[in-house]
Amino acid sequence: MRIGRLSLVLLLGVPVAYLIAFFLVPFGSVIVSSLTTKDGASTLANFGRVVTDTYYWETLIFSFKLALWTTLVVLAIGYPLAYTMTFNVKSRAWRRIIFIIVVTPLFTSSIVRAFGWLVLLGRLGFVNETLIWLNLVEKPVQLLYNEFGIVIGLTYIMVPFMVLTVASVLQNLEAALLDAARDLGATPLVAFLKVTLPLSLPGVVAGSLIVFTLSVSAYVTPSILSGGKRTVMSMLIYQQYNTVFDFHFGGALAVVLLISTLILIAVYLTIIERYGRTA
Amino acid sequence: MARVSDRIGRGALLGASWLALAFLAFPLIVVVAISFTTTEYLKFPPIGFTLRWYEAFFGDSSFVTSLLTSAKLAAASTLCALALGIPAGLVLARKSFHGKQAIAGLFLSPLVLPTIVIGVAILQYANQIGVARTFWALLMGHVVLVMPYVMRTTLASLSGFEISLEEAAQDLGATPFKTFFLVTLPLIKPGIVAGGLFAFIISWIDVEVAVFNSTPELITIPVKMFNYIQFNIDPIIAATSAITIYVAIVTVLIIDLAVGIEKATTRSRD
Amino acid sequence: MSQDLIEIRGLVKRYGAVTALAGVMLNIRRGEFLSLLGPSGCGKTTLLRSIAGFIDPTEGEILIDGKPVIGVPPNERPVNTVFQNYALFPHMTVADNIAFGPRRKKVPESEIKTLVAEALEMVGMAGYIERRPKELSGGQQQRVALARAIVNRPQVLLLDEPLGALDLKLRKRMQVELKRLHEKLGLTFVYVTHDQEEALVMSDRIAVMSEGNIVQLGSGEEIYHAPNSRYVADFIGEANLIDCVVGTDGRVRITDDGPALPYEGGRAAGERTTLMVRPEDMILGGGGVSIEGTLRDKVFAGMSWRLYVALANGQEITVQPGSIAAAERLKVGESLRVGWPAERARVLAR
Repeated sequence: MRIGRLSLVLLLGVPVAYLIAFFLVPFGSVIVSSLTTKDGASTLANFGRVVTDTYYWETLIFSFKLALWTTLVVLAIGYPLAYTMTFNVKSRAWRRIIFIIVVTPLFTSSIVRAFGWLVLLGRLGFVNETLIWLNLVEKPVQLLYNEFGIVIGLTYIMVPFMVLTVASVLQNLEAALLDAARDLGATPLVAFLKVTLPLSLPGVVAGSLIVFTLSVSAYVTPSILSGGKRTVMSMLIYQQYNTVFDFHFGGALAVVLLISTLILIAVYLTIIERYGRTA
Repeated sequence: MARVSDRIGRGALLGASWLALAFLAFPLIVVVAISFTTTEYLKFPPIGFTLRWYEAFFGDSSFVTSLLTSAKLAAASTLCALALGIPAGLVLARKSFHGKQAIAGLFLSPLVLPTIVIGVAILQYANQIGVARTFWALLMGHVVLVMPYVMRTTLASLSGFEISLEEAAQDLGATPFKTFFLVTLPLIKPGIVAGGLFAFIISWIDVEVAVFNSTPELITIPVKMFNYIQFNIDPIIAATSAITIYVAIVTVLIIDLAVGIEKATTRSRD
Repeated sequence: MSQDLIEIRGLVKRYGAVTALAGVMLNIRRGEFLSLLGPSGCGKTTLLRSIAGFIDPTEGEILIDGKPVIGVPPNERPVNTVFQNYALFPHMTVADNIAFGPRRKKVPESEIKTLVAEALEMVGMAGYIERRPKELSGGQQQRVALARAIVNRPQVLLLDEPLGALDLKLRKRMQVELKRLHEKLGLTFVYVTHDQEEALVMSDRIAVMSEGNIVQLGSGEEIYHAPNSRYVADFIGEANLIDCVVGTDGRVRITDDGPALPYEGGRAAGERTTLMVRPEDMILGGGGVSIEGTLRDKVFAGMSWRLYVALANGQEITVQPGSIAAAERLKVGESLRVGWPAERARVLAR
């Protein structure tokens, strides 16, 4: 369509102006306050505090560790499902139902999802009752308020992202390639390992980085499922902004989290680009 | 005849997939189920069947107010996001110009940045311009949060769009403005509907942005639940959760009817 | 009223370093059926789209009915296009598709009804008024696209390879129908195609394009029998392009010491040139002008035999003689004479 110069400026200019005013500028002010003191003098002290206090390092590393575990578990759960729903579910109705099951959690607040696990993983919750009934344990196991509970909760949040990302890539895989592999003597397992898996790697990489990035900065799930016993970066940021009201130090924490995330996105984009070029 | 090992592999794969689906569905089923329990505490499987927790929810004006606040906020953010995101997607899909990649990146960046950082940025900024903890601050943040979804689906709908249809319209005498409303918009409508519903739901379920700009009076339903859950865990919260799950299911079904849930959520090309 | 409806003067279109149109000059006559013919990338579609108004040329002028149209948006030009993939609006019925143009001109709805019916009648689609485009076959969509364009009675109808997506049989039928429609409506048709046969069947004149330029403009017969370059000869129909050398007498010959053929080389002695003869113009045993050759291969092609004959210069030519019986008797490896009526061959300087 032919778009005149003036309408072009209006059509794109207004949304861009909005994002500058209410997205870039607010970010700028977070960065500025992370670099200033309460009196407005510029300082690196806020960052110095983050860097020198091992507590913050430990929290950051703990956040990364949780995210890494989550990513691995999500991959283990998500990939087979993405594979099955792409290749083994032929019926349109079933595909739809499976997609609905995958997407519905995504459309539910993380509060609700954490709440579901709070009920399931409690001392007298369904999981413990089942374990006892199966005689696998004698008395209730501590499943909540520890790393395990948080990883389960985060995994639950993230599985749909992985499934949808991997499925997107698998859907574009040419079925003839698998037939060709079988025709050339590969068993289904070999065909999977030598053809499907390598070709789906971009999806796995993309999915893993999305999951990792979102997990590092997740706030609601860890704060509910940790029961206040463990702390992640986003909880520290929340404290600074909503209870301590120290925007300067809070800003520094946010910037640290942001920069570590941006580094991950940069890595992610580089990998995508490299795969895009070879594929 | 498949070999035994192949069949075992296939069986394991199917088993893992069924478990994954159960893993995804089960917690939501549990929440819905316990919202009907007759016990005073959370119980799964539920005991008996009652609607009293729903009655309690609707009887508590603070919950209902939150529900309305959330609905109002989600609707307003969606409308703003549509008004801003559709034109932006249109220009980005149709025009090539210097710096286009950078602008496209700007539009998508709220998707990949930590939501909590967007939340604190909006709080701090709203403080500076004097609108902190008002509906405007919530709206401002949520539009940033959801606009990428509208932009992205508009862009995706237009990428498969047959340009010659617009050319045909203009060739037959339609102005660019008429062309957009008579040809382009009706044809990308399913994508726009899906994008709008995504936008609505992202705003509807958000905690990380809204939590920083809430007050006891101005509070969205997820933030209300978040605060509530830290002190009480009772079946009212299950009923509240269940209500948001119903909204999610209805939204997913509408998206499915509008564009097909598979097409809306994967990048598949047909 | 000038005879020319469209005047195109020095039209240039550049995309960065790529030149799509390199200074096209073309006058299109009122009421004629003109084909723009050439391989993909020759600029024919760019030229058509410049006339329609979808492309702003870098340089040059286009006048329609004496009025300059550069800068006039497509919706204000007195032209309509039949698009390559029809571009029927999928969310509208056939009737609404056809009524789209008249509605933009605020024609009263009562009149539109008649117009739509007439247009559908004209393309033989009277019963399909309430159908959706996707319920129609390719050929039917094609007819609706045609109806949608002609209902507006444009001064010029632009057709961008409209038959490209149809199968061969349907394409042949549509060629004839388009030709008839052109005669009935008396509109000016500008038709883009890469199919030389299509251009020959339908056009009053053909503009053969190459690398952003019109290399020859003329009636189908002129272009077929008197191509002005190797490029045109090769592109239109099948041609034997025989490499010749110019002798000291100025005549062309197949080899340096071979006999002179009765054609002026038009360049200095010793230089090389090309003699063009169509395979179907060739006669076995000579007559008119004739040359020596050896039969390399022969294949039966239905209406005739095709003979592949090696000439003294080593080049292989194709001979498609009218007489089946004479060709049948020939054996591969045999020496033979092939000839042609003198006026049927041409020396191509370019």
